[in-house]
Amino acid sequence: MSYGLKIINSSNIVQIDSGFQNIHIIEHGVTEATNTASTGIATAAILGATARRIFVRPYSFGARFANCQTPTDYRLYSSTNMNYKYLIGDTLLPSDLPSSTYGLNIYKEDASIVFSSTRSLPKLVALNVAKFPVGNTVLTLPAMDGEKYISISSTLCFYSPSSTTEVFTFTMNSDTSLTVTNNYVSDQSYVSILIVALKGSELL
Amino acid sequence: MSSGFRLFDAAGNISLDISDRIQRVIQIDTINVPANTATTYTMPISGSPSDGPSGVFMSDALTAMLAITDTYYQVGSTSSTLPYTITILVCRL
Repeated sequence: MSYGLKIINSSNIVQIDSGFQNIHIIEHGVTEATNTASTGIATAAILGATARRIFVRPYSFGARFANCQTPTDYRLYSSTNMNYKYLIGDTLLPSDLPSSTYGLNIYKEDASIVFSSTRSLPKLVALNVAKFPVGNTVLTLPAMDGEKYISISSTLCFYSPSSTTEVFTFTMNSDTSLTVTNNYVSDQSYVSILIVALKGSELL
Repeated sequence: MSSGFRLFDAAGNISLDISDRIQRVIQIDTINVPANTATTYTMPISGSPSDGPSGVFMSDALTAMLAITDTYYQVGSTSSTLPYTITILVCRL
């Protein structure tokens, strides 16, 4: 980078780079998921929006859930009927920007927004990119202020398009424990699990 | 915090601290998978692994992710009777 802004913290982590867009929360809400099908989470919001990720959090610990995000919809299955909080993250288009008289906006060379303090920013808790063996794997999450939300990329989330047999299921045991269950017959597929934290006071 | 910066919202809450880690989208790839194939696609991950770990997220439920490394990922398509498009979002954290 020969110009622009790059913020690197004392741990050598790049926090903001004016060459790349940060993910901001553009929508949040609550949806009920069941063990049959739940396709209601902001389906319209993710249509054609390639950079959007859905983060979910069950209202109660212990429910087993699976998710599936496609270009046209998002599905959430739950072992018990339960409400889930969700966040939709996006790179924030300029047209989405609310007006503000304070804070900080950072722009890319093409004038698109890289960072804006007018939107909530989920803070990284953990990123697990791994093959998970068949059966249960318990992940211990670092303690961190705020509620934990999970975004999962598992392309083998369904055994077949017409089946509701989930290959990977997830159980949030507590704010510091997540069980990943591989119900498949092999561990051939990698799964990306992104866990973020957000305080209620940070939701804009 | 002895150095760095903090960003506050209007209510006085800290919206960003220099110690926070937030996600950056470093690339969005679109792969068109033809019908009746079982092909593996290898795509580079841009940037340097020293900038932080990368997460690879796919927008298609019917394909098989084969491998993710620090510098590339591989997408293996299942044998499909229909052509389809996979969109992959790569984040650096």
